[in-house]
Amino acid sequence: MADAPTLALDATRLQRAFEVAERWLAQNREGINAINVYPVPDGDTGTNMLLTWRAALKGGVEGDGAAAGTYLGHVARGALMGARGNSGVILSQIIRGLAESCAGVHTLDTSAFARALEGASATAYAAVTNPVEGTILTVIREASAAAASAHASGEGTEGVLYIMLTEAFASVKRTPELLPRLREAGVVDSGGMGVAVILQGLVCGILDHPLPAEPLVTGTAEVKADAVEHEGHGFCTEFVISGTGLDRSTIEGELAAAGGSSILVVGDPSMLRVHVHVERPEHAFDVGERHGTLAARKAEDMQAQHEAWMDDRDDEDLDPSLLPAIGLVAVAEGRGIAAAFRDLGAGRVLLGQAGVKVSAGDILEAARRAGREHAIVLPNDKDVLMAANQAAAASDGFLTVVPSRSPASGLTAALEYRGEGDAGEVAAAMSEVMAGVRAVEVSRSVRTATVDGVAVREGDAIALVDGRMVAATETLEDALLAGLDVATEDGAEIATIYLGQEAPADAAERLPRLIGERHPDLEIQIMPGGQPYYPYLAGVE
Amino acid sequence: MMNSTSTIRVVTDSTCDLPPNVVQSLGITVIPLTVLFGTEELRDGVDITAEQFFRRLGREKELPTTAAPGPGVFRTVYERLLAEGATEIVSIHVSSKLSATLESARQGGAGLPVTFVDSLQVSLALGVPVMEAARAIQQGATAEQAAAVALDTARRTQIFFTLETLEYLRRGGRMSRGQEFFGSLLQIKPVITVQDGEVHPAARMRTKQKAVEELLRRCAEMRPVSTVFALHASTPDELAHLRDRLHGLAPDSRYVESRITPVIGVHVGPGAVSAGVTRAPDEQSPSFLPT
Repeated sequence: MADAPTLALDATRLQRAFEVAERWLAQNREGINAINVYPVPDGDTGTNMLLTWRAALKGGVEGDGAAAGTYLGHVARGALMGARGNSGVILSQIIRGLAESCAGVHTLDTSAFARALEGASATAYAAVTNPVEGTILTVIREASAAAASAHASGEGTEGVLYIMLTEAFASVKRTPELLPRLREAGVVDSGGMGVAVILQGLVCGILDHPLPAEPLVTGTAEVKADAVEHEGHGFCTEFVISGTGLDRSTIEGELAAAGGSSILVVGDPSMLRVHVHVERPEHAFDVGERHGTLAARKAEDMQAQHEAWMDDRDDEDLDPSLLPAIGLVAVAEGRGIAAAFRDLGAGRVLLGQAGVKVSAGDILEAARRAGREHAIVLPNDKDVLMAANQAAAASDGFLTVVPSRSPASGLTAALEYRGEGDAGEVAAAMSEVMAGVRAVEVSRSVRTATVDGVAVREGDAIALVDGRMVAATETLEDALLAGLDVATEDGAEIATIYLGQEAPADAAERLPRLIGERHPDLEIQIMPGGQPYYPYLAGVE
Repeated sequence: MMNSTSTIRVVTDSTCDLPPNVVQSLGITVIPLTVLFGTEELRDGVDITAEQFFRRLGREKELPTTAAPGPGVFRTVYERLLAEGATEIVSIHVSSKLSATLESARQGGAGLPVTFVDSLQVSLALGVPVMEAARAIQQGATAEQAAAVALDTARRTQIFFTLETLEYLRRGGRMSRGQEFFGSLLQIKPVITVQDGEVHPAARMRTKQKAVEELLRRCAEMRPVSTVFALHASTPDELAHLRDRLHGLAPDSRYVESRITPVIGVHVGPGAVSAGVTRAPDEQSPSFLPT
């Protein structure tokens, strides 16, 4: 244990601590992602928090001077612009709170550090419209309260830091008691875990303490994550093996021999889910096929994934005078959905692939290139909503968010988009029509759990209506039909079905008849969506 | 001729969509445009009724086209009216930006005592101004005053159509600008209007029911109104619904309803319905106005 009787954090030492936290978060990223698999595997909390943290660090590099307060100010700006996903946005608010508490401070002592943590917690709570306990918010609040009371009771620097850290992890462990959805899914809150991991990294950095050799978070007890980072190279490869007597460690060994890293194998002897980073995905598939039957194969180019959230338009010849007065920006996963938004007048579509959420900075930049005087953004995902709100808050009134939570409702809102007129009125009209849309999402469950009172087994097809689980069935078609039954309860005129990457090839032919039998008066339009994770998305109006 | 006392006669074209009883009672002369199925020429509303047209439209592979009447047709009609005792003629027509009809009329009427009016409108948004001009003449207006009444009424009139599909309008080429507004991927019920003589997009709705509601909403926005009107192409039930709703919207206004004539049907397609209003006269309106 390093000798640190008094705390004296200036810009240089803070930066070092932030860097250590970055390394620790990077090592635990996969594990944090893995516990964020509910209800569909868009588990990206770890990735989002890491990218946000890295954006913060990058912001800090731009600063100069030795004052801690100045450094944190730059870090907070970086975080604000680079924040992505709900957890990343809340993290950026935590950092903003730290910075605001430390404005004008040159060197942080223990007392100032404890106060700054409390400021961070308060700012994060204030930033969220409806704070939910059992999340990242609870963890930062309880950790900062523990630090304050430890300091008040006369603990020294190390005492305060360790008591704070112990409380942070205890708080993470308690999250399932506060949030029934976590309890049902049998996991702790991933965002809460992320912030505890960051605090641990910061404490190690502040005290010059070496980081543990093994990652802390491994998703479930039987998961072993490879600590070696292979960011930006090769393919993020995933598949499911079904068979008998499947042995995790044998398969892990063979994947490692095939050149794999970040290996994650979970499940039971009859079915294993494999995640591995590898240069040649077919080598990983070969390993799987030696042991059983493969399903849900996926290989994503990680380099491409990093570049995924790019504006899809070439800006070489952008003439601002040709832009509409009010521009429309849409965030879309899937080329078909992106094309539909463009078709309705979106000047900018932030087209992404799975795994990385768009940041507030990306949205703001796209907005500036979409309209002359105003821009309206459709986030189309509840996890992008906060980043969009953050971008709007930083835009001096240039950007208005129409809070679409699914592509289906976003497309209906886009029908009311006009490039001229009063931006507030246009946005209001867009929000209004959105209320008449019910969104159906069909996917496959990656774990066995009871969600919203529906018992779901791993591998089941599941249907969510407006974010609520309504059915778990064997086939994707049955899940879609069950979802449509619920979504049409109060009457419906038209259903638009967006076919995802994983939709069966004959879906466009089969679905109209299948749905028509149950809902003879419902108009049906089938469109290629190209979205990941959800073989079917539907909007019912 | 019903109105033998008047020496000023009103001429219009078949795109006015005025019901036959109105045409007869006000002594209006309607010159038919032409619907062409391939090379088969049919005079709008004379050789082919709306009923026959929409039935045939469902069977034909090739879409019909439309054509303005030639100058000779106008000349013949004008000369006949003058021979029958008319001293002056007011000839009020479909927007010159949508049809060559007015140009043809001007050529046909060269050297004759005809006052031409470009309504910059179509369908009953042309029909209502024609009615008002005819009424003004009945009440003693001069040709010049009747033309001013027609122009002012057309200015205060707005028509909306909701289409089953944009396909007919696209192929007919009557929507020069703003087509891209409707996109091409999502199934949309377009709502269109006529603005400054041209067809403009007004709204994009997902369902017919919502599109009809949008028509009514737009009409209600324009109150106070002196006239409300409704049309249908091939769905009389929807016309009945519009009639009830428009009565509710403006119970004290004059109500006119009709069926979309084949030559407009070519461009809006089956299933189209339309509603519109004429706003109450305002300070810009000419002082000579029929009560």
